Amino acid sequence: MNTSRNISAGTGEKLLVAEGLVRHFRQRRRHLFEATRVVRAVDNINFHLNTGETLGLVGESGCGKSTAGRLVLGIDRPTAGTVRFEGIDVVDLPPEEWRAMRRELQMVFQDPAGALDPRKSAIDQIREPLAIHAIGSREERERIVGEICEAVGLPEATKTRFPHELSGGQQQRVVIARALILKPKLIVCDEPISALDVSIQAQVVNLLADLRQKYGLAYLFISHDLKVIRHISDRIAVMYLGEIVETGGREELFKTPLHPYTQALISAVPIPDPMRHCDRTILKGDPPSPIDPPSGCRFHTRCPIARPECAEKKPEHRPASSTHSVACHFAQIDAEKKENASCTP
Amino acid sequence: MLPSPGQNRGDGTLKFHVYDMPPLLTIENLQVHFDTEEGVVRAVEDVSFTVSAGKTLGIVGESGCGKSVTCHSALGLIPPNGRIVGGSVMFDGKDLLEQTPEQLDHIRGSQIAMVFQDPMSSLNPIHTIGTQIIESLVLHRGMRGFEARAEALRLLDIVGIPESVRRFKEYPHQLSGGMNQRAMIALALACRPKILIADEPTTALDVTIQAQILDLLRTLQGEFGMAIILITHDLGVIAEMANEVVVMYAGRIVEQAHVKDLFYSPAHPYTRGLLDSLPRLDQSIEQLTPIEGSVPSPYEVMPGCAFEPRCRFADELCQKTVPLLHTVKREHFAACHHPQGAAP
Repeated sequence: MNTSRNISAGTGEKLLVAEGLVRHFRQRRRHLFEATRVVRAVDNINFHLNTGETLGLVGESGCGKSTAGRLVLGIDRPTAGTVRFEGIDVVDLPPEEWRAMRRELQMVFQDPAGALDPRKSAIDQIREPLAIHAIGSREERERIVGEICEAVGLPEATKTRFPHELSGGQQQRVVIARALILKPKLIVCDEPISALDVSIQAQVVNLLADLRQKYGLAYLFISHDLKVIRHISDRIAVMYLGEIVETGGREELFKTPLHPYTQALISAVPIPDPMRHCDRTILKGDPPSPIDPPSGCRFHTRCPIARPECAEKKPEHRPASSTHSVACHFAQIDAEKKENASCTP
Repeated sequence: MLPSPGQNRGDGTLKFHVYDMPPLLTIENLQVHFDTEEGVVRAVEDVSFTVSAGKTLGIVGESGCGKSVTCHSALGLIPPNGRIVGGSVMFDGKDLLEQTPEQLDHIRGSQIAMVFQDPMSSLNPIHTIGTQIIESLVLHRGMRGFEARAEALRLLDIVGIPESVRRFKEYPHQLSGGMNQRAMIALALACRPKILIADEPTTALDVTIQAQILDLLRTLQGEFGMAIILITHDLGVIAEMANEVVVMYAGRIVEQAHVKDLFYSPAHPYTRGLLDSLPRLDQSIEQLTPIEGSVPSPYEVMPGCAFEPRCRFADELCQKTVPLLHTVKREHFAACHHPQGAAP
């Protein structure tokens, strides 16, 4: 971790606090007499973000990580729980105040082509938020737009182009520029690089890292890709079936993963080194449906160390250090010193 | 039958013949063009490689580099605006490019099978999993009734689908992505193919399911001794699965080597760039080193090396002449005027 990030990450005041966040979706009944089924997309999760910090939210498809992001942004209402941004409860904010707050809270999604207006040029789209929020005079707006375009590395020639004339990487730069132009404090990045080509992914990851440093941004970085999460996050929360099963600083989480799901997730990632053979924990079966999640610990149906009581009692989060906590009855917190040395070169 | 290993004929033709066993499939100088409204797209230019029984050939590259088109056109599966301009695809003593559609129908499915990225759209949504496997068994292996049903159930067991008797009667939409991909693999295995072409078989799947599927492919290869052509953009999957690797960029092979050579001493700046740009789980990297710029437009015809605008070693020669694939060291080839040495 480089020093400047340490300083910004260490200011310590909480920018965002999500408490007891729940989001259930009611499923349409298929026939009159069927009981209503509820998808428990997010089920009682807690997390916080400090100013200038990056929290990685990782999990497999359907674990609720994107829903969590939408709840933070206020584009979806939680069934229960609160989201406080700079101490203000986002959930029940009147529309005008919510809009004002949204200047501080921006988003970048996976598919840049879908996020951009196909009928507006790049520069018009980047400028638009300034007009919406009535910021600055015409000259000032031009200056800000120029500055942001330079910051995201958008070449002069591409500014007047339309989205379909831009490459995927350039489109994502436009989306990032548009998110940045209001000088937000937090950007929710939902799989921002998953749709990009391998050689472009690194460009965008580096850009996001540079911008964080330059503008003191905090990211809620949502991804299924552990490699990227490890690279960019200060802290990580691992989600499974709507719940956070483990949180920790990135070094401790990757060196000494405590939850059997985190361990399996890490060991499942193929390493680009042909001489490295891993003792892989291959999980059996598929993740169960969030409609009727398993009782007790939701992971017990696939867990390699599950015991009968796991099906009955829901595990509470137990601290392993001041920053590391795990929700598992049998995670060996004392054996923390044991490194994750299942891979031998 | 073939000249000595790794001999470069200087005309871009390459004999890559590493294993003692004769190759099952030999693609030579394959060239595929697409006619589009904006012009001709040279999707595959001068691609040659071989695949041997029991081995896995990995083809790696970014979207649009021609990795899928190469394999699809070798089997006669190209859209109407595509043309195979030149080359040959030898399989079992026959040139697949000269076979009639009926003959190809017989080879596809029975001798060479494919598994695609998205199992949901490859399986027929209006037939049960069982029916689809039985259809293949009846068609290619002449089985009937109970025999076919028993064999289909056995295949579902082999690919690790639990409760196979129940799954047998289910439709693709009732199964998860991982289960559908297993069903696809069962279907591909139904005729005991000699070659399995897996085109991004795990890209649509979650990482824990990917681990299951890769494990399954490895086990099955051990059992059946088939050759696998694994098309992917994920170098991690390549490192884990492949014996030999072909790296493609803008329609051409830029590097070809054994998996260890490729990862430990990449010769082409593109390969090296790809490896350097990856975030890793096994190492902490302060800053990623991206490959600057982006992939050239498919309509662009470049007189020189297609990677030249993004390459830090490029010079005038690279702008003017297309580098041909040549030997860097034993059984390691690169199409670069300035191949990088075996630096650490």
